[in-house]
Amino acid sequence: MAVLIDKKTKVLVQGITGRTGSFQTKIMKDYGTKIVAGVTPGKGGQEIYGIPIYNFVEEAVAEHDINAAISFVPAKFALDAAYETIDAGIQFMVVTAEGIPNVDILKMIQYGCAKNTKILGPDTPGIISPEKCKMGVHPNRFFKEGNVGVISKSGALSYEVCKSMVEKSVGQSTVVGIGGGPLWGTSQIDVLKLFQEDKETKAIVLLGEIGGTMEEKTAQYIKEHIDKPVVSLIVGRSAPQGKRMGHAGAIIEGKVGTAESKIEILRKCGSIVAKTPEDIPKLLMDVL
Amino acid sequence: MKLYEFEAKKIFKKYGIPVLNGIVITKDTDFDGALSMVTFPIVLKSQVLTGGRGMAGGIKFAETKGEAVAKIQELFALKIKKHPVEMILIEKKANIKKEIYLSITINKEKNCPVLIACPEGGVDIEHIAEKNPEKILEIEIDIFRGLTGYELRQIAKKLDIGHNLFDICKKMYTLFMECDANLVEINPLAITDEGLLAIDAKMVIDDKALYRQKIFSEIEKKRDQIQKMVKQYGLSTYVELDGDIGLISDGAGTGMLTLDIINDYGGKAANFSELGGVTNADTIKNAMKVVSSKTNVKVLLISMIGGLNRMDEMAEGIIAFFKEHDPIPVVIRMCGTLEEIGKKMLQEEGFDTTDDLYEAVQKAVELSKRC
Repeated sequence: MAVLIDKKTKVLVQGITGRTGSFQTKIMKDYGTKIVAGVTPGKGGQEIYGIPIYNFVEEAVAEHDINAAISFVPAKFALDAAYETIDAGIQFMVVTAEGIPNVDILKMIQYGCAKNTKILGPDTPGIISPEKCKMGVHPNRFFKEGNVGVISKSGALSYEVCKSMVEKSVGQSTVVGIGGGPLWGTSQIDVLKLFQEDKETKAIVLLGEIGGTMEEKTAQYIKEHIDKPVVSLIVGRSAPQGKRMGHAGAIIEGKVGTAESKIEILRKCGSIVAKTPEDIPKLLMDVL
Repeated sequence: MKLYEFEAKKIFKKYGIPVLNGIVITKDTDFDGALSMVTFPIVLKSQVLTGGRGMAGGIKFAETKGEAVAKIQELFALKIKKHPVEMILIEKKANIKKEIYLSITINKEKNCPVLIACPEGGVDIEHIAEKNPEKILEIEIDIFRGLTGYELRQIAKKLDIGHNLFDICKKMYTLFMECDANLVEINPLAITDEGLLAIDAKMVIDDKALYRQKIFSEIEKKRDQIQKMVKQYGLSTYVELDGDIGLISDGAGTGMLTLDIINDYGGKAANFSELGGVTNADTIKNAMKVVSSKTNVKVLLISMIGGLNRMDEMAEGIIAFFKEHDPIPVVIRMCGTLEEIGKKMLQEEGFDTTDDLYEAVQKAVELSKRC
């Protein structure tokens, strides 16, 4: 078992012929992900790495059994691409683009909600169930099959932590990148729910960062609904006030969003708080 | 991107939201000439991109020209939360009967725009939210449906202002959507004998939408030299800090982590650039240019754990930078996509790399103390 994706997931890639889309498709396919079709307007009828390309998502869905899509479409066109996937009835979609205007993100999330498509992202590295399926851009060698579920806002931070885990032979059930924010199609709480229900997942790692109040709400949820051990890490302890630290959501405004407040409430709500990624495998081994 | 009050009021006017006609002066303006164009009594409002202006003495009233000139000079000598006053907006003093608060922003939990109203205007809304949350009224707006008349009638009734808010809220919402705003705030909205009037105007534009918001991207370009360089070079993030290590990372989360570790090792970062998702050799080369251009940068720390970023391209960019620029001590941490190729390319040019983030940070901190 894994959450959201597994060996049976059949994936469509939007923007499959672009520079990033084609490069990452090759890596995903080699990793074992079942990529059954790709879409690039104007390139229908061609093939890439043996994967058939269509002009429209609708055409691909008519020809293949598809239950998930990953979009490498750039920010400017990402909303339209999402509409297309949602209208085609695909129920899970990973949106990788960074820099999508907020109004477009709101429309994408709300439209997906109304039509029953779960959106992961935007601005996400995607999701990986190690050795089963990867819909994303993760560097493969930092991940191995195991029983820890990982939730992260940041892509690279999840690589850092999973690298430390794998070095100590601690593997992951699924690693879910929810995206850099400040808007999320899938929240930390949404993923926690899935990990709580997942039999294979024995412990959860929550990787958060400064800015906003998501971790505060998540901490409350952990206290009330999660009985699996949760190890968390909040980065941005040294960030100054009022500066946006890379992610659109990572900014301390007044008293809101500081690392201290997040760490304190996570601790109060029963999470084990790590100081650096290196501590995480050890803390996990203690609870597993 | 925040707008100055006078900029936001120009936009308000364009959308039909009632504002006063004011004039903006700088230190170089002929005060006498400017003041002969206004009707007294007047209000002098410092134009700064920060809140708490009233509390800091940044708003003054004047009955006469002489009084006005003296107060203008006082304002230009003022700093509000480290922001020097460089412009003043002069308006006629309004005759206010009652003030309320109105804004539209994004509810990040519900993923929708939200209209916020409060019967008390001209106050710190966060303070009210903390002390008297029941006074704050909210309408979550369906992004596909927009605002409805009945919801606004309900709000007007609860606010007990006897005015129809439909017109002004509709205009605010249209402006919010069309300008890709993250915040449109009128605090206060005044009720006067002549009807409703936006006394203050605050707008924050979504930086990610500037590509399709020409007016605002033009304004932004004029503002900040370093940010201009950042834009020009296509970097995702550049943050000024006050130490001596120039940090480049290929992700925001890992960047913040690295800053924390630098701190833990007793070092301090001078600045921080994050490359973002879509990168090539030029992206890192340009990031190195921008980060090393700050004079107090003694050592560059480049930390890569690429998923989307390809290490062959990162190596190519790093090598290209050193061919064009004077040498500067550099510590490179490299792992991730195509790392074998990237590391080999760097080794051939005589650059060491490490996989280990802690080792890299430690080395950079040591170098920064030695240089």
